[in-house]
Amino acid sequence: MTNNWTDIGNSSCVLVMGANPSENHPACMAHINRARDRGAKLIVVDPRQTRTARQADKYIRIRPGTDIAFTMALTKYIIEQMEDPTSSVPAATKTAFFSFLNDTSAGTFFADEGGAGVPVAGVGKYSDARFILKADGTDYDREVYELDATHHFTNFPKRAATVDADPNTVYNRLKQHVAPYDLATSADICGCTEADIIYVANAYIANSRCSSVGNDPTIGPAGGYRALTHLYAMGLTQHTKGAQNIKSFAVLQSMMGNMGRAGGGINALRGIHNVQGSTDMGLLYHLIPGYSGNPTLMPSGGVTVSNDANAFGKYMDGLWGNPLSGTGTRTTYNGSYDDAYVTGAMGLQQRGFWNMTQKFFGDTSCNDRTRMDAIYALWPKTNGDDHITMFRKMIAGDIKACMVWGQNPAVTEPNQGKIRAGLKELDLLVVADLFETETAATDRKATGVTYLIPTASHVEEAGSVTNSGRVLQWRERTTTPRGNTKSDLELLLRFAKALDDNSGFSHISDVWDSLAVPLVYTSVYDKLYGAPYGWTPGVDGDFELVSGTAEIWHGDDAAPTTGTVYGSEWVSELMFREMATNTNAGGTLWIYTLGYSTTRTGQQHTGQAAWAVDNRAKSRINTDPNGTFAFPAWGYAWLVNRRVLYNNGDIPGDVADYYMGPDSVARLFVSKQTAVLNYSRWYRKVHNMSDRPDVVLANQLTSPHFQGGVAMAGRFPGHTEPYETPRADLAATWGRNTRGNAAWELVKTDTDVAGRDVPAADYPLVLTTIRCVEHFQGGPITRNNPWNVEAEPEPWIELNSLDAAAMGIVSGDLVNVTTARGNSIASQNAITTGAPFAKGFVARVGVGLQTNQRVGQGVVAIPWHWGDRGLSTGSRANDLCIDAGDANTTIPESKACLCKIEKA
Amino acid sequence: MAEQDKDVQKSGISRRAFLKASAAATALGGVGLDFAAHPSVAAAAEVADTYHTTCPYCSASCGQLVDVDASGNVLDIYGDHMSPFSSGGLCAKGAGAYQLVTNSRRIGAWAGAHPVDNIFAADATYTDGIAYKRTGNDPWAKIDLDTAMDEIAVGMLAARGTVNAANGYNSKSVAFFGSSHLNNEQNYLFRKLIANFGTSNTEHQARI
Repeated sequence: MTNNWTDIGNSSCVLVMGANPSENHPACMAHINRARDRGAKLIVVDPRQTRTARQADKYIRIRPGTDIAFTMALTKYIIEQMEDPTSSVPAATKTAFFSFLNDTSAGTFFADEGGAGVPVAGVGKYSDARFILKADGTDYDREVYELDATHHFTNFPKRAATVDADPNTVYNRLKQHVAPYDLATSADICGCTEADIIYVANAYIANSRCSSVGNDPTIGPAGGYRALTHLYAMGLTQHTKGAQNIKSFAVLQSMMGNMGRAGGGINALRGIHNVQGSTDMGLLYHLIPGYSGNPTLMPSGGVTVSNDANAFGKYMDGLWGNPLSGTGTRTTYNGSYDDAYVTGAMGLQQRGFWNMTQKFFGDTSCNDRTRMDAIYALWPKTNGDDHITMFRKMIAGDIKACMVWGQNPAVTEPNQGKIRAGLKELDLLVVADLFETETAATDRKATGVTYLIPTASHVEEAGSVTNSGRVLQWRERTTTPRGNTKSDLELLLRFAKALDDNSGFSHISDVWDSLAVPLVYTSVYDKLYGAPYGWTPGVDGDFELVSGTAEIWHGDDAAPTTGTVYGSEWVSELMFREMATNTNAGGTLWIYTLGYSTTRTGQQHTGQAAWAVDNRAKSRINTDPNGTFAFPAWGYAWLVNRRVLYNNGDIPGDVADYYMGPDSVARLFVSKQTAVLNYSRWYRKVHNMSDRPDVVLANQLTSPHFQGGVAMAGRFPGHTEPYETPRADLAATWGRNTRGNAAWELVKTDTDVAGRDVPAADYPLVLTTIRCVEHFQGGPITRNNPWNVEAEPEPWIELNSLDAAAMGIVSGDLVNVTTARGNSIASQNAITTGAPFAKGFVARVGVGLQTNQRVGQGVVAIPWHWGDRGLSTGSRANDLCIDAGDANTTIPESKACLCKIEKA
Repeated sequence: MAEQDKDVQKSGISRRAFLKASAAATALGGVGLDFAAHPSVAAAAEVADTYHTTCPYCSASCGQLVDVDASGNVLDIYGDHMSPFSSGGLCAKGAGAYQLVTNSRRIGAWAGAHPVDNIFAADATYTDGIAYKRTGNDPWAKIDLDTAMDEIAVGMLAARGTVNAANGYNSKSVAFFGSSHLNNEQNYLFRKLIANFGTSNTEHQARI
């Protein structure tokens, strides 16, 4: 989220696309309803008439996978209305719209020489709309800009006087790009009416900065405050162009001035309670903690990876914050990168990485180039495999062992036949969970060994969690782990000890021993885990009895105390301090910096009292001093307690931020020029989106992506069809998404795809996956609870009444849903131990009443919570779904594939 | 199902908070706002202490209060009225968290007969932790946690092979799936351990 949960209450219009907060984030509805109580409207655009849609002021149904056609039509229509002197948009609104885009107030930029940002008069601080693009659309047209003798900006983007003063302004190129998305074309793609698009466009105009009385949300919609917020979830991301879907919101919200405003922004309703935190921690194949990429170069010694004597310096140059700007200046731009080792000159992310390298690899006192290079070398180099590829490698025997901690891929991953075939072939499978999950119980080869480790529940272990709005909150250990179960911290520390006892870390100690002044240690475990986290198995007794002194903000007490805490309360506290201490004082996770501080002031909003705790995740002051629904002392929000990112100082009380862009303006345009990196300061980094529709790849100049002979799709969002689509005509025109290498590259060749491997006509219906309020994700933590199971005992299938009538199906009929994926047709008993389902997805049908058509004609919706373990069992939706992954993120296209239905 | 879902009154369901929440949603006009605040239902005399946590389901981060008795048994989990994110409300999932934590089907947590498989009953003879092991599709067998950790370490290292400067300290013959169900510190520790182990092959729920 750019904003946060409570901030939704400031909105005057909530636009929900691809989310269903009524069922999947019910607390979100309370924030939406707070806004509606103040006069806000709720609009839902979704293929399914969800329970959120049932409450909305306006519901618009579109075909699955057509969101960009909708949002680009909004963009085109809004621009036309603003430019048309005869349109019904008030003149003052038009003036405000263009004065925002043509803003000439001083923007803050960061000069080559480093240091704090300096105001550059006349450039504008909000938008890149009047920046000029190169004719080929690859980048901004740039120039050397000299503000004064000590502030040079190499590659500063050229600006036109106004958005229409040059044909190549970002605004004009965007206008050119959206030209094909006229009302009739988009309505045809989306399966909605032209009036639907006009309705949302008018709501957009009426609920954006151009229509607002100022930027203080406390006057509310009744007082004339206007801001539109975008809410989305997996309905927008689970597509082959999921990242572009979200980028289309960024274009709209940046153009309309809703970024950085209370009640505005782009807000992902994330699925699991700590999915933000686990993403922050980089448990992904392309990241390490803090959104830093995997290092790629060895300083020396690499054979299967490349070497570079400046490997560390070059990596640091790629992090947000270069050229180094901590205290101000990258001292020398010399070719040997010596200045990359000067802590005082590092930016936030760089310093965090420096600290993390020391803490992760044991040499916490290294302060010179030789020693840092030696332990930097220990970072695993280059990216791992994405989740889809991993299971294929298990089938091939290239991945031999897998540890699954608190996840259930045997239900949650698409194209399950390949997933469970992969799990089957592993030599070693380790599962840690509360229950015997489908993954733990999956079919295994005769020699495959499986371990299942029982874990503690969320109330039996302390620690911090980070919610969707980036707010860290503390969880108390309310009781000790029950029975034989152990906390995850204890289990992981015992695993680390077992690895060390079996010489699993000898590659690390070899490096320590080889240093000119060898590191002193008793064991690798002690150096990396035992000493910093206070517990060594077999030495320090019961994990739950280790103790230390920490702050305690207990239960619903009004104030904190300090006392002795035990077990995970203490070990988590130590780890939190390691992460969230100021990076300048050794903190390892730059985005959490100052989440722990013995200074009780700083990072406060206007009117916010001094902090009452050092561990700010424990802060439980629930007052709202500025009346902006910021609640700035409840927990701690990264970065530096901003509750609304990029707020540009417009929101009363919040910590002023700058827009992200080249350098400090919101970007309508995504540049792929890596040169921008060298001039990005602080926590800025160039976007690099991969998307290229296959028709662009084939240089199909007649496709609508080519405007003026140039295809901007990828930089500006362009519609592409889902990999499996009922509209072959549109796929021929608009294409399917790729990464720019080859058609169909986002799906494996061994996946059966309707339209590629089998005729699309065999599968005439569009399948989309859904969730319900009573169950959660892959199911173990609700399908074992009798109450939840009683309320929603089995999966179901939602079908339009016209389709049902044509097939002779009535409500309550048992039907099979099948797709082109082989596993949904083949005997599942060969794949899953004891699976009771012989074919496809078998469940009872719910046919909408005339007044309650959950899905449109030609669309089928099924929930994906079920599997064959637990108190409630049922067909797995992911047996059917396609494992085509988004071009940027590899998130699978779970929201749109093709299927057929037959009576069971 | 569309015509048989929560928009229409469900009969015969009246138990406890989250079921009341469903009924409350119906009363609110059938709009599916399964979100309601309830006080603790624990008997006050049994409550030895009240702690706070956050809900283990979605990322709206509703506050939860947890009543425990003198032996550390969880008596009830209910909404935290102080939380600005939820103001004491919980949905059908969050209100059912008590049943998640005290679930009889949890493995290794409770003594006595186990509803899934008696092998998963807590066993007091495993004083320092337990794990379950199976070969092929054989039944689960109990194993001491230290022994299991040792065998797992040996197996993971065998699959990993040698990591060294030549291969960039990165083995791609193993995989680690982490979890959005873990706290930040657990994830941090897990990610550190994976880096120390010598691989970048890690993924988790954020990818799906």
